[in-house]
Amino acid sequence: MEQERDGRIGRRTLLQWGVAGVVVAGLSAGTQSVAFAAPPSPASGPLSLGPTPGGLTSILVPGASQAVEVPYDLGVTISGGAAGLAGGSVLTFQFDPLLYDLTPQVTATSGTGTLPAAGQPATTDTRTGLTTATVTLNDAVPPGGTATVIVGHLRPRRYPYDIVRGFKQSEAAVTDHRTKERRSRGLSGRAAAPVNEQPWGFEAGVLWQPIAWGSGFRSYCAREASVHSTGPGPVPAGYRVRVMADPAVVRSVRVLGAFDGAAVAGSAADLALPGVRGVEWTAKSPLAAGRRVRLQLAVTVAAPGGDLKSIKHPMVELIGPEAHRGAQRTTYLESVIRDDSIYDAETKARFA
Amino acid sequence: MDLWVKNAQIWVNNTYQNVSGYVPCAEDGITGWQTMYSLTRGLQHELGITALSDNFGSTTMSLMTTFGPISKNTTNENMRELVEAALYCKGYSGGVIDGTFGSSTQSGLIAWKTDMGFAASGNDNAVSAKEMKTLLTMDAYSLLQGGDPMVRSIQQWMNATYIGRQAYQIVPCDGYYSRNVQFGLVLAIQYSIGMADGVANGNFGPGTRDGLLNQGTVTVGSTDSGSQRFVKLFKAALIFNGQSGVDWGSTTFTSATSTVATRFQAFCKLPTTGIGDYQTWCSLVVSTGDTNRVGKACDCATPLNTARAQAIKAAGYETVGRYISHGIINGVDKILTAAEIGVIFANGLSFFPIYQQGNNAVTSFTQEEGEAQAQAALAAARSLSLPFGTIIYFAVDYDATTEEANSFVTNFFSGVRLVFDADDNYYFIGVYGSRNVCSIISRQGYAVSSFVSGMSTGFSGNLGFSLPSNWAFDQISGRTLASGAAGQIAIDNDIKSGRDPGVSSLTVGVDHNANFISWVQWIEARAQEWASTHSGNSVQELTAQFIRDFPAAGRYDSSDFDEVSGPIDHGFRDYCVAAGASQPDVLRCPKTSLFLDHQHFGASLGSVFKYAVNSDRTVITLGDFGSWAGDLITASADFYMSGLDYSAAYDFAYTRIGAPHWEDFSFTGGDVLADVDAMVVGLAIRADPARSISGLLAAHYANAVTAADKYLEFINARFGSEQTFADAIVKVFTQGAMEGNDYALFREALWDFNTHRLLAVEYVQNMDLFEDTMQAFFDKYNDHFVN
Repeated sequence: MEQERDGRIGRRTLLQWGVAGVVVAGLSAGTQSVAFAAPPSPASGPLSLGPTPGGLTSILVPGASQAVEVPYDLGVTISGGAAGLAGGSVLTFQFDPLLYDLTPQVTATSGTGTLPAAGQPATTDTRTGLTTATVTLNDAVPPGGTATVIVGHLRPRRYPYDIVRGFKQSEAAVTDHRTKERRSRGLSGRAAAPVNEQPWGFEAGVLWQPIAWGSGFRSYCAREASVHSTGPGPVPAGYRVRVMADPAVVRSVRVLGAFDGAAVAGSAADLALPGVRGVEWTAKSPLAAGRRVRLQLAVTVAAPGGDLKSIKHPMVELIGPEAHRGAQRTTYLESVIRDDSIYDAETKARFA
Repeated sequence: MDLWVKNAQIWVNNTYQNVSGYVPCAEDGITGWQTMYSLTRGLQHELGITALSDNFGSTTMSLMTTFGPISKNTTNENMRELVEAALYCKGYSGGVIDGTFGSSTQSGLIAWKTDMGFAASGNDNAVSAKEMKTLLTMDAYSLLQGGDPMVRSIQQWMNATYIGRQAYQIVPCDGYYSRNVQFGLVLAIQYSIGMADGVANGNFGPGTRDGLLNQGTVTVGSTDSGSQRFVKLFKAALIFNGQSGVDWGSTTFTSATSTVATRFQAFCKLPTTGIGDYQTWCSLVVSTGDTNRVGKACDCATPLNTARAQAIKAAGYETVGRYISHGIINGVDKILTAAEIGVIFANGLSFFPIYQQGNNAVTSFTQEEGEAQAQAALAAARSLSLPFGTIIYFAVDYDATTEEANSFVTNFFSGVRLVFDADDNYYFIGVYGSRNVCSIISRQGYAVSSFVSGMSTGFSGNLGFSLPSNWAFDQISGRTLASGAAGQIAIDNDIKSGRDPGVSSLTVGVDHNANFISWVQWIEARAQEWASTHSGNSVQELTAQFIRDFPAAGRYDSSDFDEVSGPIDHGFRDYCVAAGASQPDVLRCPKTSLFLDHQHFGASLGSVFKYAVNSDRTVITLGDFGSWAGDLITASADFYMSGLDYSAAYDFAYTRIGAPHWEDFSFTGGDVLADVDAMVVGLAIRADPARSISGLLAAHYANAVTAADKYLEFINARFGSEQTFADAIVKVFTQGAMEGNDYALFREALWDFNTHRLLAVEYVQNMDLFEDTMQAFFDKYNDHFVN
């Protein structure tokens, strides 16, 4: 029950298969504000579908609008209700392949045990683009019992393709093999708290100053750190730049100034974290998309005696203002490190 | 921001905040290194370690191994919760962070393990010590943007094959060849040599070199058996170095493997034996390659007198790199003088100029500094009467990380470029640095030639990166020539690709465009020879195919591109490589200063050859799809995937289409040039098969006037009028299925591939996006190219 999908983006490779007979379908469901059902019904209630124990994550959408929450799991928890669910019942998941990947095998549990289940090959509707995965539950869910069935997981949406445009709601449905009773439930699209700002993100850049001591030992500290605003929205004012180093290697770090062509206003304070030496600079103004702020730093080096028992890897970390995190993109460059310090025999053997 | 990542951060901070040596992470819902280090320190605390560290080193590994795999049966609840928390930080479901290890956690574990290359299923998955280590890093296991699926397959194979060996650590499965992957490759080679656990250490040292020399040679017919996997590893190394056409699935060294090996050897200026010999292994695995090689170029800081020049010449060198900037080394100014140029020429040598003022870790790389150094370099070059077209190499003489290269170093070179552009590109820009730095700066269009500091094998920028495609000099070792004699001189030994022959005369400039045209003429001559004994392709088709596939083979070579641009005659390609095909020079548009992406040009030319223009010139065919129309589709897809509001579509497209360079955009200047040239040249040859590609390019690139005429000819020859051009642009997105014309099918497939969406549906819903992009293309083409 596996999809084959090459995640590479670009014109350099084309798909060999074409799409036959494209028909302009109706509008897609888009992002609907449908929350999950309440927790599974009690033993005396009807057959119902609910969320899996897995969490929800938010997906950024274009424009100044709401982020949308979707579950990590493409799955449901089935409550058998008073009558239970017969063996041979069929579960279907209709989902947007932009959001979810199918796992090689179904994960189905009932209570603490495995629930035998068999998946069929997934099919894609060329009119809508939605994919349907079908699972047959070989064993029954007893009256009052529950079963959790997971057929896929959220497709990684790594930057710069993390803002999702117009994805379609996923839906699960179960049909009881004995009674033919059918239940369905939308699986995604709960709107998060309104964000009212465009998605924004930042990336760190660092110019490292090597620090040598003793016989072949070496670490680093940031000599310059930069913040690049990825857009589309500006990085809000109040973002912070943390410059961290090991106290055994660095005595202090000072911010000499911040520049983006001209001087950029901000305030600096020594880092008050245990086991860390460094400085934290807070920006007073936003950073427009595409712009880069550079912090010039002055490093006062300590004088380690020789090898060290442990190391705090030198790091520059960017932290967004809390009030704006709902719209923050994850670029995976919010923190940059040097992990090739030479501070003991093991690292000397590896990096010298 | 991810709520469950934030929950994980809150959990780890709350759990370990009172532990001595614990460093908390920001609770911002963003996965970063500090979050991973906080989890690592939490793990170390659970293992009983008191001196907590960011490093998951040998002590942590040893204790973790003794502890055993973490599963739902592990009694230490915090250990189970550490796994659940870390899974979210890696982008996988961890269930509820309560240590239950329930179905959601199991699903997340299965997805993660499968991505790493391991088999996983069921409801009782466990996390081993090595898996725990890799879980607490920022390594990715899904294909990253720009990653190679074939590289990912190998990464997964390596993990599955070598996980049981002591020193082997799980490598990322992101589709990128990187330092840790290279480390794993060397370990794998050491295991095949027979090095035991405890001996194999991932360093390409004398023992490994000897082992390859004595055991590693693989030829056609060689097959892997048992723990010896030289064939698979040789193929992996070829793929890691960007070579395509490798039959990865087989454990036999086939003729196909030999063909690819020959291609790689030719690229690296190695003897083209077609076998996996020692020198080829070295060049695949480490940046110096076999350091016993003696190149045809060298560089030195010592000014040359007659004796030294004679010593260099006698040692077999042709070209010497010399500084055109001041600097006192051992009491002597390193700068090149007019007198020294005379000595160089008198001894039959050429030279290439290097500009370096510091440019090491303690110097700021800024745009202003780049401008200043460029100004000084131009002044020095002019004072020495260096001829037009000379490539001046600017140094990045330290181990710049990728982040530094993409930020500070890029800013520096943008400043250099500004000054050189203002000087009407009388001289060209080269870059000296690690493989990674050279590739980044070249890819951004700032440098046309690379001088690689391959000698610095420990540079992170040389670990896990292949030679840049535009390399001219590869610095691999240091030597002292004429030791004890009058001409004694310390030099750096450089392999020379031939891309930059250096300056051999002050009165004859380097016409890079003429060099490129000569290269095309050379291919046409080989095509004439080949076509005389092989039917199926015209001389022009063969020439276009070679241009499309050299030097970076595989860029436009797949069954998909065969459909659009025609299949490549690989026999002809091999024929040209065997005949000594040189690296092409650059071709620069005299009007726009853009550099042609010649491989793109070759591919697009193939599609124009293959598919005729419809009598209704507004109709889009696969000939257009293989050139400008296909690029317009992907440009629109780039915007679609950007997440920007639709109101930004016009500006997005207008600023990027035809720009000299733009990261993550597929229709920049080199692409426009390639599409226009392909259509103009292709249609001219269709009209008169006696015409040659080289002749047409020479005419169009002669001067700014002929270049301007060409942009107008694109409209007139293909469309007939501006109005038809505009109408055809609209049809790129609106043309329906037509009998005998598969364009609509390919358009849908391309759009779906890039966006996972149906174009027909999106066009109805989001017409603004497409209309604005079409308009931007039409406006930009007229504003920037025609006018």
